[in-house]
Amino acid sequence: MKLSSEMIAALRAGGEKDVVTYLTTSSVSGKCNLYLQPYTDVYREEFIISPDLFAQKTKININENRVGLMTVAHPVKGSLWAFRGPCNIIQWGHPPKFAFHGVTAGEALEKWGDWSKLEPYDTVAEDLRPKAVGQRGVIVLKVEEVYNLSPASSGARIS
Amino acid sequence: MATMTPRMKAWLEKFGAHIGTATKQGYPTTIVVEQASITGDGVVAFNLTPAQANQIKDNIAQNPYVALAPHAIASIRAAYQFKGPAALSGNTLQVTVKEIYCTKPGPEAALRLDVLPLEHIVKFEESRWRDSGPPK
Amino acid sequence: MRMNEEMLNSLRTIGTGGVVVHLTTCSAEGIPNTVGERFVAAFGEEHIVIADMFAQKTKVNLNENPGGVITVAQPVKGRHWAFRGPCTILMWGEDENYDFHGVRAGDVLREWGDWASKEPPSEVPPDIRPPALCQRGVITLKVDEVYSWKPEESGRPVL
Repeated sequence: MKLSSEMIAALRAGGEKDVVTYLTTSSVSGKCNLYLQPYTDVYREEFIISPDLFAQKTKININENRVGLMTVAHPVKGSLWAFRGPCNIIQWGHPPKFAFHGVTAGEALEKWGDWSKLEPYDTVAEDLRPKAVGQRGVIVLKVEEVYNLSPASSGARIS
Repeated sequence: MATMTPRMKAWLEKFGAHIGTATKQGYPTTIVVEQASITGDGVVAFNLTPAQANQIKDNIAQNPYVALAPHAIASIRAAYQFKGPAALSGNTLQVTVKEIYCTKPGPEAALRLDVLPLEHIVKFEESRWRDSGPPK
Repeated sequence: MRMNEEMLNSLRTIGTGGVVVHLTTCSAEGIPNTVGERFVAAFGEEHIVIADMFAQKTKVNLNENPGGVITVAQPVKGRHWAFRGPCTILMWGEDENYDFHGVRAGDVLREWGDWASKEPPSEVPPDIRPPALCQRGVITLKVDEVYSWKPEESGRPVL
């Protein structure tokens, strides 16, 4: 499904209204993991792309259960969204033709495989930014559902 | 129980495995058994020496979940890891495989295979390795 | 514990085949994880280092239970050794003066933090060679104990 222009503006790399998010994944037995993700971008209006900088349990979960849920953590004013859908990590080493819901490894790695070219890590405050970065790939979330996170109407479908 | 492919079975039977065990508190002890036999789709039996059985019997009694990684040249050619509960009866260690992972270095490292349909796992193997088992 | 010359030489063989080992770690609840490691070396006389290129469950385990066993897998050639002791991953970004059982993070990372420059994987056949390398750190095990995994004497102290 297509994201709204407001959502795209919030999630786009280097956008004016840059948000910090959490990516929730789960093991097949249902144990959840939340992964802090300050870097995001949007592709074809329906994919949320983020770098695999330190994913550990996230990757283990995705390796056995390819579903992800991204929630906006900050700033939340007007952005209380949760994006859910199929999720995978495209890694350096995948053949260029490897595809996940139509996104090929070739295009994903060329565009987002070195995130620092897209969005310098120093956009994050010095005491918060990673001291050293080793990007192994990109996380691709195909948005199939967006729901509301606000306490009063949590879970209500937005689109 | 997970379903092992013919390739997995062939490499594991011929070369055996490093068997990771641990206390309930997480203190590891690994033994190496140089061949295995596989019954059905996913039950692996190892014939231990008395020294090996004695070395891990307390771990198995308190924490039967073990990990298996193929030994010798299979550690390179057959990059899998198998996990599941084990039972020690005399000198026979029988492991019921519940989880199967690809451990091939690269983007597939840690990919869980047992959650996929068997035909997908076989296709995955065919696309990743040139052999279908150890040389005869 | 100091390893003997035969052990040190076996673990120092760079670019000529080297050894493949298995590293066993386990979760805090005791679920073990045993994976093959190709990029391994001795650091000084009491530590074994392994490149953190693809570690996932290993890292999750070490983060909650910092200990491990390294067993020689290939070629064995009479080297039926199991090395056990405290184990961690020294990541790029770690304080360089961080001391892990007698080694400084900076020293380990400077020597082994870019493994591919010392030991390119080109000697490995194409179908089992890692297609791309992204090293985030160095798995470091302090050898406290060496036992034999030789079936008929398994568990016997070697040193």
